[in-house]
Amino acid sequence: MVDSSARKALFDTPETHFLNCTKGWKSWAFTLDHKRIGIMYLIGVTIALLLAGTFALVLRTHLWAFDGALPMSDDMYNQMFTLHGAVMVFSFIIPSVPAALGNIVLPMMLGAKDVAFPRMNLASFYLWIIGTGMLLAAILSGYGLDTGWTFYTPYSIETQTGVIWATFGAFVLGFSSIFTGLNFLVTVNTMRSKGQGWFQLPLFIWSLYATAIIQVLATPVLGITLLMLIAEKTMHIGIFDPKYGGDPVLFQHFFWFYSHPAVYIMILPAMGVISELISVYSQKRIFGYSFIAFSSVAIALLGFLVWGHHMFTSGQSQVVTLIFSAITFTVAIPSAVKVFNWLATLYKGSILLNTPMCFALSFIFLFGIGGLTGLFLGALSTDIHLHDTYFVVAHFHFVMVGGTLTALLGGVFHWWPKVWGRMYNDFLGRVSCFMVFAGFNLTFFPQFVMGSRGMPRRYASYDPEFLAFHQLSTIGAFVLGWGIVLAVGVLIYAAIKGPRCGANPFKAASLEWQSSSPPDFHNFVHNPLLNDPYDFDAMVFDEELGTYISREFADPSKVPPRKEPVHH
Amino acid sequence: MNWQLPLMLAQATEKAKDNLEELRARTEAVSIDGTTVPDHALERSAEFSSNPFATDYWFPEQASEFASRVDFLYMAIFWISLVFFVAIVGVMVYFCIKYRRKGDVIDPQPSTSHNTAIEILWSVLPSILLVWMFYVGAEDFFNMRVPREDSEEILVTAKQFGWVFTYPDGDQSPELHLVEGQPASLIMQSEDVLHSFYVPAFRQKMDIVPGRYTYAYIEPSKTGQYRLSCNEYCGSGHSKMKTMAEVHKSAQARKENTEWIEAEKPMWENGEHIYQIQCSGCHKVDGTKATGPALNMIWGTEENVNNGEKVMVDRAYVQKSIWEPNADIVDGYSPKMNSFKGILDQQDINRVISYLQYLKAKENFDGAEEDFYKEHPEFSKDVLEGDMDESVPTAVEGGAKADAPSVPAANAEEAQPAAATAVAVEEPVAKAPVVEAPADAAVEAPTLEAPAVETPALEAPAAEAPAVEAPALEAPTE
Repeated sequence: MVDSSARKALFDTPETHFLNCTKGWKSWAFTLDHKRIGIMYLIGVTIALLLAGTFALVLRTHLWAFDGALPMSDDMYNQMFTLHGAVMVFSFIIPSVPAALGNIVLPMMLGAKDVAFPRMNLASFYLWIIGTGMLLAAILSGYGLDTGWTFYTPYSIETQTGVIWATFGAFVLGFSSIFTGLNFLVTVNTMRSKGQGWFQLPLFIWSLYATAIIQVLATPVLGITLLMLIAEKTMHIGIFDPKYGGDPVLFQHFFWFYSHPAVYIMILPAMGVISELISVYSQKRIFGYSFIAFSSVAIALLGFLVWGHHMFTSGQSQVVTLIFSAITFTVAIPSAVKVFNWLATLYKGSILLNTPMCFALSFIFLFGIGGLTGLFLGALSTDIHLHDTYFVVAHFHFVMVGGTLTALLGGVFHWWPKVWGRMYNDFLGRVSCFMVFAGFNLTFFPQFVMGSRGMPRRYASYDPEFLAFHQLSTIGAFVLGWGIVLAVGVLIYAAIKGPRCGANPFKAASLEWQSSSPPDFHNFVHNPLLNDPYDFDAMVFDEELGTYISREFADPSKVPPRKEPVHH
Repeated sequence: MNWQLPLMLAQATEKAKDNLEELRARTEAVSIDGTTVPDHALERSAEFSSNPFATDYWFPEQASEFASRVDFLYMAIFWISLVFFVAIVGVMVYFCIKYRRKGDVIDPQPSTSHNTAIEILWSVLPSILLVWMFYVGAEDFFNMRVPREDSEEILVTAKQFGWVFTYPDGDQSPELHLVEGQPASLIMQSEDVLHSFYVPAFRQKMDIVPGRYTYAYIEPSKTGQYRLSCNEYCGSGHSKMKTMAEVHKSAQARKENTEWIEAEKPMWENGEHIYQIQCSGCHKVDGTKATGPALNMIWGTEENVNNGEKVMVDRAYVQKSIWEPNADIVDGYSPKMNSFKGILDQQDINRVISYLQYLKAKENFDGAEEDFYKEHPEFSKDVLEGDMDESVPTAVEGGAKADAPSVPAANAEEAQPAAATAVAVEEPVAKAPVVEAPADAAVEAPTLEAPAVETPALEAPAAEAPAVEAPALEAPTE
């Protein structure tokens, strides 16, 4: 038990916290603080998102007319979709949840002061800047980049555009990702609070851990592949280009051996965020904790065995194709299990429909569509028809944008008050959520129809029969774009001018909410009190502080009795 | 969401355009030249069902035997997914309404947070459905991939940015022509980068990989014209690498569409056919710049090339740029063309040249269609390539010697005379060469003396003109 002034010292917004304990640009540029690095990452990936999103809007505008609405050559269109894909995948989605949100939250969830290797963490951010810079240098070099984000050979070897710059950029970004993954693995293994067992970890940690395994094991393969591509392009060593005795399908195997697990680098942390949001905003213990935790690990491992489903039409052997199809279907189970568990968590909860929860619910909706449409692509005969059409484009956007971007926004809104100590405008937040949701569906749902009717992807012009669907899609893209801009605006305004909020405005129970908002430079000024991250009854409202704190810290005379404990 | 909306929009747009001809012109501008746009591509929207739960809302018509199987599995997964999706979202929305927080009171009711039985149940039940989907998909896949014994073999050559289909009888065409009920096994190869063969109406797709053969199998079951497109990104002209798959009633009807080089056609028409199959992916004939320069006005002009010199587009240069495309590139273009050595022989090049001459003459002529042949009898449909049988081989030899690509320096000097040689050699032969000669003279003329363009053309029959000019030009070669 602590007295009132001690409570204030612990939980009220402090005079000095990690944002203002040191000043000047150097205190940010050379910081080793995981929270500051996370914020810099967040700013970085937001810029990448807006940039690549602008490319997408240019594409969609061009597709307003079937023979191209903008005075843009086909070459320029090809460069636009390549840069859109490459920047979105390598510079935005892969680092988005783990490196930005994960960096801020993971050590605090463990009750640790920082990640295991703070310098490596900063290096990871600078590698991100260098890698992204090199990707963009491909544009500035004057040659552009027109291979598609997949760099398929032999076109990538023959084209005159800046492939070497871009692949080297992706190579460097790979190291940035490996650094983050390695850091998280070691941090979770060695820096958990005393007594914090694996099954007392929030599910976000489990998903970040599973992600980190993929980052560390799969990303080196991408690095090797890209280096071999550069070697083939410059020295003609004869590995990927049939002209020199190589095999283009081999490149596809190498590439997808990384890039399929990379899909799970994108979606697993997002699922972790959703597990947190659903339980906090329904104030219910997460249903089937161990099933969700193990399904993350199962997805991470199965994710290594399904890369061939990107290559059903590539000319790989038919027996191999059959096997990959079978394994692909098994991935559906752990994903479905997660969705069912989230629904069961809502049951009999006390559901608060604020901005983060709205994003979490739209995640379930959109990821549901994204996941179910994966079944059409996992089945062999239908995939032959749908492969490389707009159906695939719609499917992976539902997973990556409807999934990861929605979860990222939900997560940022959830932890924003923790980072800045200020609250956002919930109404405008929900408006932005609705715009993102509606705009997203309008953009990508028509693409399912176009795809199954036979519209190939990566086309700068198309047959007039698809005109109406393309126009709907273009309208949707602008709604989606403005929705994201609004969300960013709401968040920036909140960080500067938002009303002060207490340490724990949402009655969340995981450890990061036991520090003040914004947290101290060392995260906690006291040893955080280890409790179950999903035992929301352990938190009580303190009138004086205007926020939720642990029962043990609260004034015993005002603490309501414990509710009937439920077995779990 | 109202899914009638796209249809309404489409109809509105159709109306606004009103002019189908204009629509066709705009569509053809984004297709490979000389390839007919299937009418479907223009007016399909109305053919689709407006009911999103019907198969023909999601799919184009079924034109192959296995199309209905693919559609069946697709719709089966569609319904299974729909049931699951409605259940998930329904439960979610119901819970969110029923258990939403009222005011500031947080009162979650106790309920279990773990139930192994239900967890196992909802893991295993969907698995059974997944096994079924996998099984049906795999079975149909093998039906789509393993050809019947009696299928005909069609060779497919894909390249940036066009298609060549070679039939068992040696005919070639830039579109795929099939016979209803006759299964076809496509043996596919690529000349440059990855491509992919895709005909939505057949539900068939296969990548075409350079350095190896890939195979696709089709059992066409319905006559008609269908879209055929490249589905694997292949470079700047990817979105224009589309053509048509046509299913004919009989082998005879197909033959009419695939007959290729023939003696009973004018030389320029054979040249046009070669152009359509081999060149049209990158070179336009309507004056627009594509991957390569437009060809309609290029014959006889002087072009700046990338080594700073000027080059006359004559026989020597045309041959060189087909066989050694990266030697003298016209300014403003990049080295993207592959050599056609071994694909187009000397005779084919002569046909292409004849087509270039025809195009140029056509561009310079503004009058009625029938007057064109009066003024340029050498292009008339009566002047058949077969009649020139004796002259052509001679021309080939003469041309080949003079244009020997290994001596580029000599080339430039001899360009002019080489062309003249061709003219001269053709001269003695009775009908064709006499009429062909003035054409050459006419297009060569501007370089010698600009006003001369008109001269031979005006002296219509012009039997004399070449006789006077040709020997004079011939002199330097000897």
